[in-house]
Amino acid sequence: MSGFVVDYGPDVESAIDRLVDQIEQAPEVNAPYAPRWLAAALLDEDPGLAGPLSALEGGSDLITTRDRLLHELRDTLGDSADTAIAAARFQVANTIARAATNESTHHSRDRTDRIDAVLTNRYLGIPIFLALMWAVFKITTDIAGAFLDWIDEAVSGPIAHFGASLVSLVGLGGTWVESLVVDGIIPGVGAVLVFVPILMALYLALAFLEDTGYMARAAFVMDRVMRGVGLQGKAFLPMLVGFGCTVPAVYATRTLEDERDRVLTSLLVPFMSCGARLPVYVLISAVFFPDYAGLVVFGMYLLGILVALAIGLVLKRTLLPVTSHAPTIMEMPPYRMPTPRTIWFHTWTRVTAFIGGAGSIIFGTMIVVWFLMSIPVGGSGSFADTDVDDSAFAAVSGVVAPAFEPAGFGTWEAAASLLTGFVAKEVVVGTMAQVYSVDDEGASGADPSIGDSAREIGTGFAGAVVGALRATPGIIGIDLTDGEAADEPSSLMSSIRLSFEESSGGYGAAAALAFLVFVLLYTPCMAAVAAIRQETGARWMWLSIFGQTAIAWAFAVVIFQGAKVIGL
Amino acid sequence: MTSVLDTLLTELRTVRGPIRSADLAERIGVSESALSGMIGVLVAKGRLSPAADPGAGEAVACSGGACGSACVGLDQCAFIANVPASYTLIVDSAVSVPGPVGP
Repeated sequence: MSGFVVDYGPDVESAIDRLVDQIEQAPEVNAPYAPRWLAAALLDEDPGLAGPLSALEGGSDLITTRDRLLHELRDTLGDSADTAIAAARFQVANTIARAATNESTHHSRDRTDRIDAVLTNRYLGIPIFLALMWAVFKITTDIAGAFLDWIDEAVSGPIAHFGASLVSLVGLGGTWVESLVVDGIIPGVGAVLVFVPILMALYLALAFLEDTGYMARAAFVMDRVMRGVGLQGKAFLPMLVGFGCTVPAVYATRTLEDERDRVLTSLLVPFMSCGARLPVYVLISAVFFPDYAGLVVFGMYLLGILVALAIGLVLKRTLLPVTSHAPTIMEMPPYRMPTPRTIWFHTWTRVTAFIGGAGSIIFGTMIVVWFLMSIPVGGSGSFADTDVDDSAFAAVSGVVAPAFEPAGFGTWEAAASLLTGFVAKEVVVGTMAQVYSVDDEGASGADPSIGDSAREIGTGFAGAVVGALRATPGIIGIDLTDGEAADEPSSLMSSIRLSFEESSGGYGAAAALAFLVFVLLYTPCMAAVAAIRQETGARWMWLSIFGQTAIAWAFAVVIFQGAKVIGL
Repeated sequence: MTSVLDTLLTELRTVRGPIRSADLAERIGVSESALSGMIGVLVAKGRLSPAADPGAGEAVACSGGACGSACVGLDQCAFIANVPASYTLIVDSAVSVPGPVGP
């Protein structure tokens, strides 16, 4: 490229000439550097030059001259010299590129562009996104649903027997320790295990979409939706994180420069359905809507988005007028064919991370719940040997329960599950496993041997795998279970159904739907509340808590009463 | 003469909402890789604001063990790990980028 020179324009070129003159008069500086290159690099404020130049005779004077020239150029150009230099270089590079490449090839749309034209289309993008999300939740519920019964039966049967035998073996049978293990710890661990197939199925489906490159397009589509409520483009990032977990999503609002954007996004993020709510949806759907579980779960996620948009529009027009609509450039990755290895890696890493993180809080909360359920406040029971309806937990929850009567689930059990759900949504299913207690025949019958227990667990697992495999074609409408009787619901599921049917006057499904909506819309967890306080202050935190709870209650009541009217 | 950086900013101001870098590159008649370099310059100059890098965001979001128990970390979050790099126009960046007097 001998003789090739970029023209930086008269003002910058004049400054370069003045620097070149000075460089040529300083032999120590002139020797190691080409004068024009050095002059341009100085005006470009190359950070690596100041140090070496200062050590050379005449170098410091050169930097002083450079600083003066930069000041003059800023006045002349109305901007810094390095921008002008970059602009000139890009102009030349672009001219060369245009001359060296075939124009028709340059403008032809490759495969990625053609697919993007459909997937990110202004009108098709959102329906396609919703359809894919529906497929994700269909896969999640159909595959995970088969394992729910197995885990429940294994935990309440063989594992509970094994725990009780172990406690008896060390001479603590019949004491409160046995109750703690059998009624507290084992159901708590079981509640953690319930997460595994659900999350694995969800992450498997998401990893597939992610590895194809679609999730980046989903972000593009979401960005448009966020702008619909006046949020700036970058707000889509915390909203997306909110589908995983609300807490980091609230902290992610720090990336937004405008305070109103930060506050508004922090208030809307909790409406995005986090991963911890998913097991509640799956369990309740399996009880009341087994044939439409995927649709119900999908509906919950969609409702969360719609409520967030509606609340966003209201806040935008009242408390938080947001005006920023800055355009955003997004660099889309190319589409790829996913490999089973990477999909499995992503799935397994996420499941283990989630279970590891959620396990401790579930375990701890289950012990606290057991403790509260072991304290008698009525009846004739004693500590760890009392009817759950006479426990301190039932008494406390019973105070709150009447508030939920208009929503159809005004029982202390439902209220108790929602109260612990305020601590963390991960513990709702575990709490339900404890408070909807039933006397399992298996638990009180003769102790099976370890071999029998292992066989029972193994047979149940094989049955669950077969069930999941047979359910999979149902995602594309092929029903391999057609004509077969549905599995016998587990004791927990039967107990939940019975309780909801009784509390709602026979409208169990309507009450269940209202319960799910309440779980979706009320405060996600204590950690999220703390995050909102930290990021927005106490005033917005209280608005978030009371506002969300009020919205959740109102939606639950309207849905229950409405569903009753249509006879659900 | 209007520089290509100026053209980029002018074109971007006409956009309502997000735009794919491929589409913007086509609009201003440059390759995507060239556009990527231009974006780098404009970010350095404070004209464009990059969205949080998921890896860097994790350090903010999960500092001090503040993450929710259900959080797998932003780098593992399926909803964000593959989020595209995005750059928002700083609304006040109305200063014209000077263009060279070229051939």
